[in-house]
Amino acid sequence: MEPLELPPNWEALITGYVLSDLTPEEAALVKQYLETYPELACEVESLQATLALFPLSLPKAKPSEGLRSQILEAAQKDLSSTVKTQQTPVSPSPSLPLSPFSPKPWLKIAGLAAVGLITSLGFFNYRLNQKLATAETDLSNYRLQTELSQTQQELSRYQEALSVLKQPNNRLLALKSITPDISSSGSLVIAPNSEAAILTLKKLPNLPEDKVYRLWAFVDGKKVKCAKFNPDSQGKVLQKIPLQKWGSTTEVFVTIEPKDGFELPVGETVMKGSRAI
Amino acid sequence: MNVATHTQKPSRLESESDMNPSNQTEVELFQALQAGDLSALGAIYDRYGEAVYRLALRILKDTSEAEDLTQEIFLAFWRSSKYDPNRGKMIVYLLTMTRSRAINRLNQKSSQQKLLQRCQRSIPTHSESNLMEKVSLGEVSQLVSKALEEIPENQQQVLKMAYYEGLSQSEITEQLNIPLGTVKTRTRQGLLKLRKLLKDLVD
Repeated sequence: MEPLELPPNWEALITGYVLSDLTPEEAALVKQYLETYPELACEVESLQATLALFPLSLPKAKPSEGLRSQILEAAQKDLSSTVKTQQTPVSPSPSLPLSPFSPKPWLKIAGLAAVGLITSLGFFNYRLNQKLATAETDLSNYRLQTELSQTQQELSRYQEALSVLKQPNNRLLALKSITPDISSSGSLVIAPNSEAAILTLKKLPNLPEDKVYRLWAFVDGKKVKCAKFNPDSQGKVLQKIPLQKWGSTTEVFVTIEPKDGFELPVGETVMKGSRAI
Repeated sequence: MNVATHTQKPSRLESESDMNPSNQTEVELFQALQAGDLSALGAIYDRYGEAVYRLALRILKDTSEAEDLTQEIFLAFWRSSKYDPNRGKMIVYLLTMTRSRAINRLNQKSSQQKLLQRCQRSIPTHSESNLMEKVSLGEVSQLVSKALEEIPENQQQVLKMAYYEGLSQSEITEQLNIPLGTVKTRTRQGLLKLRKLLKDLVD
């Protein structure tokens, strides 16, 4: 097939394309040119950027003083609904010196996020303790005894997670969804001192029965299997994972895999996580 | 304008100034933002808040609506940004999103679905504009204003009508009572000339 030749007026055409003033036929032609001559994309991008900077010539106008704090407050609310980051005196341990070999700002963020997790889990811990105390008031009741046992199990799970999160030298990997239809997020705190990691996720959709989520880590360029998990009915995950050879990883990802699983990921990647900074 | 100069200094990664978000590079700020650092959002607002507001105000012509949109833009950026620092400058992304959403609001308001939403196909993917990293937004604004002054008045006029009012070429034709071909030629030539003048910024 003959390669599509660029017409002499190609510059006018791509400018029109950026300005959306082409006829449908012309627009289709430009798309073909872009496919045939990928270098034209730079021209398009440059024109789009020019157009995007165009409003910088507008006369100065300032928004009201309060807008900044209004935006930050709204963002803070988002943050609070995800993980409570305010430093409440639940634990005296948030100083978290973390990794001794890289004194970088992400450590502060990781520390803050870990404090948030501790705070958040501490709150659960408190609630479960309350629930436990209530359940203990009437042990004769079978239903309550069952609830007591379940609550004790749940409590010990949170307490276990809390003790891991309070360890020094912890590292945080923030996890984010990479598919537009899932808004899940969370974190993986690697606690080398406890030889464990705590995975916390939220807004994770439930899967069909034959599927599970799997966490993988990149170690020396290889994908290493870490754990499989499923969210609870509210889409939340809280899981302690034993640290194996992947404790030094700086990049992890989550895929949807068949329940029986394989040694390497075959399913769709839905979340990715890397060291906070 | 409360705009910080964000000169890129890779060597200061280890220094204390790194803790101050106003000195961070865009990439550092964006990474901090993704990690849930509110001060990064504050720093990004300090750099680009006014530019976003100015554009919102120009299109929506109402201060409270412009502030509302400015908040929407920064919260959207905070919540789930599809921005990729490797694919273009943050200001280009923010202004493209602002214009797109402002025109959407205009559309909703006027219920005239005929209004074209131009330049929304994709966020410009160019990158590596060194000058953009070296000068403050205030300086970029001056460069753009100066470049615009060099464009013939009639070209400026049609560009502004298309960009800020979201008017189609035929609507501009009707309003100015000039042939469609002339409108097209003027907008295209205006944009091409602007691009030539801002070459150092956008290429």
